Amino acid sequence: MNHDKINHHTHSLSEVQRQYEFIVNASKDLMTLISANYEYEAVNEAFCRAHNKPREDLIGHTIADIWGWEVFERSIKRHVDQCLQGSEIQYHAWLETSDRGRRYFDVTYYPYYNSQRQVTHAAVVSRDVTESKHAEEALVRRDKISRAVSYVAGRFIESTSNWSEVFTDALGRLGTATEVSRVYVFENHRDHNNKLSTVQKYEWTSPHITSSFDSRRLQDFVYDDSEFERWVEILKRGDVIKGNVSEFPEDERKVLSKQGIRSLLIVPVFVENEWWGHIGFDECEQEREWTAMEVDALKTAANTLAAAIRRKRTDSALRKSEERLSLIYNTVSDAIVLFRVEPPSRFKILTINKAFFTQTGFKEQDLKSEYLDELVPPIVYTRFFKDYIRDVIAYKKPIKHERTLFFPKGRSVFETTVVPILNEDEECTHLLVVGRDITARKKAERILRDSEDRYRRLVELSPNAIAVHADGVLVYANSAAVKLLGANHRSEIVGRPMLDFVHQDFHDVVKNRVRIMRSGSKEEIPIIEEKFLKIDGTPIDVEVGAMAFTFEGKPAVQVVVRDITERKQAEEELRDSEERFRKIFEEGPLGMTMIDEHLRFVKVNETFQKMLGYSEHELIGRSFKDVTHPEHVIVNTAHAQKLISREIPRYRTEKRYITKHGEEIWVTVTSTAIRSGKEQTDYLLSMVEDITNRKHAEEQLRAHTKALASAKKQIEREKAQDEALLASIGEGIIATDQQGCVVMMNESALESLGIKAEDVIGKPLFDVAPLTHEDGAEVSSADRPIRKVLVTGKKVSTSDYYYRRSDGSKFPAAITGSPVIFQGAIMGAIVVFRDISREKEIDRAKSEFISLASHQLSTPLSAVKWYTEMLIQSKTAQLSPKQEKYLHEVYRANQRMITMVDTFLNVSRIELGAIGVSNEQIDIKKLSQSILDEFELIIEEKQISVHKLIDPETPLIKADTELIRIIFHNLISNAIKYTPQGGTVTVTTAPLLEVQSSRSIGVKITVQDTGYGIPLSQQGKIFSKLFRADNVIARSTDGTGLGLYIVKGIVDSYGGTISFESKENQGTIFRVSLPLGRA
Amino acid sequence: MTDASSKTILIVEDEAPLLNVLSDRLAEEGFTVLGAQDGAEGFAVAEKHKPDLILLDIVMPRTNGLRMLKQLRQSEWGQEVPAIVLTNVRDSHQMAEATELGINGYLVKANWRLDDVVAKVKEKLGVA
Repeated sequence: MNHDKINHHTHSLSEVQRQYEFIVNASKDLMTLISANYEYEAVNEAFCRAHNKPREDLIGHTIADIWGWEVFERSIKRHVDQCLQGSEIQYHAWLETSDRGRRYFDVTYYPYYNSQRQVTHAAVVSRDVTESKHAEEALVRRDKISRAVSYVAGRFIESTSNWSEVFTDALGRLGTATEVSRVYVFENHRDHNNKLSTVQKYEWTSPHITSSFDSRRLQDFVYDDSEFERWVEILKRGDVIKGNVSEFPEDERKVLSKQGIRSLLIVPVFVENEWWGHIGFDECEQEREWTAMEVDALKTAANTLAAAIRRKRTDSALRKSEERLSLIYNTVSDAIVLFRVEPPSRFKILTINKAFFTQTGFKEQDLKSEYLDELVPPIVYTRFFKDYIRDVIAYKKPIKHERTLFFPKGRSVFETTVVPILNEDEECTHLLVVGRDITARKKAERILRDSEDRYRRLVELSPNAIAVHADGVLVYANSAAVKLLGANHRSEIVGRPMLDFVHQDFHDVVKNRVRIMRSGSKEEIPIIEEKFLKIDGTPIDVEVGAMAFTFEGKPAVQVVVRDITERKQAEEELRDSEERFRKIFEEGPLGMTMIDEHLRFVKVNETFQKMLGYSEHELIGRSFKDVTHPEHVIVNTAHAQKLISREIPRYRTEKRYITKHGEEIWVTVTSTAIRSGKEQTDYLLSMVEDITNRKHAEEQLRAHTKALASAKKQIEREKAQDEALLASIGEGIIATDQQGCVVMMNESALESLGIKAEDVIGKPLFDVAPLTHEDGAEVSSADRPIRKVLVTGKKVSTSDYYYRRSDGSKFPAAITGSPVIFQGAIMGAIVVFRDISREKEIDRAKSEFISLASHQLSTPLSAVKWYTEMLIQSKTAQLSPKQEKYLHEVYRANQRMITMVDTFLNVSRIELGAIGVSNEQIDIKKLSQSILDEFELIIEEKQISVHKLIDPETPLIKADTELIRIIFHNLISNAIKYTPQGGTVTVTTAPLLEVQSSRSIGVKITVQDTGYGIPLSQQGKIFSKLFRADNVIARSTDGTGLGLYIVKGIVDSYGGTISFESKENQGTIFRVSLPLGRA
Repeated sequence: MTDASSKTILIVEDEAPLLNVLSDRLAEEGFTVLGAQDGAEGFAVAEKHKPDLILLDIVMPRTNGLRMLKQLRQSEWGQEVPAIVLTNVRDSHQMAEATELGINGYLVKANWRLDDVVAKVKEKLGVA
């Protein structure tokens, strides 16, 4: 606003003044001129309108008259005063109007200078900013709503656990942002009469609203039976219902206003393209506008809600399997890491279990990245993980590896299993890595091996006869035992019933002993004197110690046998002759003592003295207790007394003496009472044999036996863990015994075959899971994988058969059978299978598509081809040479089109994997010739000399003729096309020989030319799709750049190899090897 | 060698342009040519006129070529009649199925010149 123009006196009527006046009155801004005594001296139309007063009621009146004293004193007077002192003042104010509600103004006071440059008035301009203020507020609100929506979206996306809390929180945010009284979510459903109904699931009400809603009626109702039938069509097509209740149809209005609702907005929610329900906003305090911006923002909220619901659905489906997983996850001691596969080849850690940290010694803060390739050193990643994981993803099968790894905890042998987790489309979305520290097991296995070895060595060298029997059969005997039983060789006795070698009188004793040991009783088994029979039937007196034992995994009994024939004889003879007694006493190989009734040594022989290191006179007169190990004293004394009193005739014990040097020696003492001398005094005569060496051997044996047992335990524990893991794997797993009867089936196997574990265990696998051909005919027993495995002991894989479920339906399965081999013998088989119905279906669809496409594209091309041919050859049509040339061009172009369609279809075949449908015997020698024949014309035209080096030994291969043809056709066609006039093309075929055996395992083919070659810089790219070398493009535009891509695809699909060498302007050689193919 | 004019050829082909060009070309050679646009019609014409050779497409509406061939081979008359498949379907399954029913050629239309088709027909009929 220009002050100078207003400064003119309003009563002047000059034209210029009239014009100014007009502008001032036309302005929407409120304008006044206030004098120094606070009177309105001039006002414009807008000002009058705003105050709803005619001009004459304003002019000449003071501000206090118009605004009241209070307002005048508080603000306006001060502003006018300041303005009159020369300041420009700005502020905001509002004015309650009678007709248009509250209006907002930006007010400015300008000092008015008269012609003497003195301030005489205040010119006040007030601009009505109500509209822009409203717009601003709407923006702020939209901003608030948007923020609420994004907050809600965030909550929905991150949270999983407490849905109800998340929903209530989300609705609250939306409610606060939209400044409504109530926000709610309704879900549709069908009632028991299958009528469309809707029910309130979540609700939020603003704190200052007392919920006065008629809950029953509006929280769950059938649309058709309610006043809101109209809404179904609107919401169903995705539109919103909005507006003030006063404008709603009468029956709706009645119900809604009864609830106190003044205005509402209903936004439909669609989940997976289906109308799921709605989210609604009620305003109870006032009527309101729902701006397009608000509606849009709230539609977004509805979409977010839908996404959350979709997620919630998936979540609850997942939860079951997650629960199962987490059970294993938390209970096993294996380290488990779950990765998400992020294409193309990154792996993000989702979860790590506790065992991972304890097994590796890593701390949580050690893991600096969430990505596998950043977590491990690059060299480890490429060498170990990359290929391994790629295989797991490619084969969609768990793969196990055993590696020595270095962790913070130290060096460990780790067994890692990577299990792919597939989604519905059979894509690998996650990887479950299960790691187990098997250092201890490895060690246990080694100890087991070592201790088995040591046991055998020890036993073999023992002077005592040692034998082992299990299930009543002698399974092992050492050399001493072989000798004892009078055999020449171990084989004469091992394998025979153990009782064959026990005297009839002792069969019961032996059987009883075996029973005690079987029962696992801890009872000490005493050493017993028995009679054995030699192989020729001669009885021998023996002393037998027995011990429970595990031999090659089976419970067994180990017996230590000593021939006591000699000693027995000695004893017998002792009784016979005093003379002999003396001799034996003094010169015998055994220690001999005589003690009196006071248990004092009366006589000791030299052997005994040596044994204990005491001289004769050091011993005579001393009690035997003095040299006996304190542990045995009480028992020995008691027995000695019994002997003397003749309560028992003989007593035999194993005990320890303490030698003069303080060493303990183990002995067996056999004592008997005798009467000797003139007085016929009672003495105890004892024979003492040093068995220290034997004892040590026995102790060592015992220790090793213990080690064996603990190693076994360790292995059993891990077996249990393996079983838990088996149960969780998605593939069917079946274990059978040697006869092919089911020993174990995991959950997946039972589920896919529709059977229960209790019905199948112990039954032949074939009865449980019959295998059929596609037509339903049963697979002959010789062809069944399980039989092949059990007979040959080799792994068998097939995808040719179907399993028949218990309900008679069948499904195609990829089956792998592997033998379980223990110590060289086939103990059973493991069958792993997977339902491949989907794959089969997809394969069929793919080849159908391709053959349809090939037919549809080729038919019109054939028509063009044949008609052009007709025209060219037509005898009746008078073609000018030019026309004929044109027709030839049409023919050639069409021909190229045909070739290209062919090529593109081959590319599709390769890319869809729909290749190799047939499997025929192919003679490469003949095939190469027939393809060269095809090029006869052009070969002649370019004067190319063709060399063929065909090895007559080139074997037949099994493959799809059409595909092998394509390989040859492309290579030979390229060679001819890219070789200049007069060049040479050489084709060779030969058998591919295995290095070690020189057996032919495939064919080798080469195609060599003397052509343009491939530029060195581009050699890396020649097998890529649509690639054409620069030097070739320069020469001809004809060619698709797909030929070698196709060749490579076919060669790869047959498991063959292709390579080449090339020098620019010298030529190229391609080498292809193909395996013999499946029989 | 026999004269072409004494020989009748039945062409079973649903695509009219292809049927027309084939019959024109074979008529030029002097053969008597019959046409049918699907397998059912083809079978009826064959039964009625007993042609010396049949050229037949595989993918056709209603009765396809393979079904017609099967019917023919099971019928009293048609067991021995020479049949040449003329198709654009290069599917080994189809090829194998046709071969099993007894055919005298499996020609892929897009790869065969009209002249060569004629030569093949003549060869089969022993026509100069």
